[in-house]
Amino acid sequence: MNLRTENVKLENYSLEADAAGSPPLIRLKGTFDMTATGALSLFLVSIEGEVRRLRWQDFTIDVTEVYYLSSSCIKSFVTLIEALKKLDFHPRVRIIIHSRLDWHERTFSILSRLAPTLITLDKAG
Amino acid sequence: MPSNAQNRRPRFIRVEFAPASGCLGSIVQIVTDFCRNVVDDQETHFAFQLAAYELIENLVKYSSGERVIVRVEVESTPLGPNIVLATENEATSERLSDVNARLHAAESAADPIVHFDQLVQESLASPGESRLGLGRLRAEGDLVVTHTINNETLRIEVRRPVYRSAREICE
Repeated sequence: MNLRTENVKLENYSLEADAAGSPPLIRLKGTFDMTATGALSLFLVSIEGEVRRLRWQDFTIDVTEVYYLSSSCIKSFVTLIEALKKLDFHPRVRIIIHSRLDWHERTFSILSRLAPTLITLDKAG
Repeated sequence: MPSNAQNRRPRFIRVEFAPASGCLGSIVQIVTDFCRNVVDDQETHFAFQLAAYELIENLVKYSSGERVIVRVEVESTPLGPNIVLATENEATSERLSDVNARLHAAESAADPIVHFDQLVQESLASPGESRLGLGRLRAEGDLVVTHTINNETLRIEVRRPVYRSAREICE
């Protein structure tokens, strides 16, 4: 299935979406400070559009190679999750965090507390 | 033979600069390198990386003056050493009033995680900005946060005790 979401690859971070496998995989890598906020926000809005268009029942977000996520970027995730909560088919999101980076659990558990029935955190690495 | 000064680790670094997003990564790097020099603890490194990004992003976004200050230091106390990160900037009275209220709420929250979850809910009503950064300092960084406002200058300090190699440079 071809996605309408454009991948982003810059010096400090990258954003990739791949629906070739099942479930679809979103992968973030790098440092997401304030300079990444605009690109991440647009990317996640596009992902939300694909979830609606293709009626994804579940998908995975791999953040194991994320080294920093700013509060503005957290807000972009919060906006995505609030939009997903309003869909009638309740897609489930599995977020893969790094098992040895304790801050990953603290940061991304904010999202699972926001939508505990939709979001699960799994550790890898 | 190298002198004692050459062998000693840094006690503080102070950087004064004109706020611009292009400075962000390099100033954060100075803070995180300082922390790695004085303490061997990933949690402390993360806490000060988080604080550096959030506080310096705020300097870039909200400072009304032409120069801002970032200072990171090892502070000796009777209970042991702390790492302290401080930022100073000028801001408009409207901005100072807003940040004063938000910092008081963050500093006095009985449970910083509950407080942060409230901020996340409130952020949904502010599409243009996150307003989450100051709340993260305690909730995710486990940092003690204090602030003062003098005239139009805001000073924010975050600190955290350290138990390992920083003790050596305080003795």
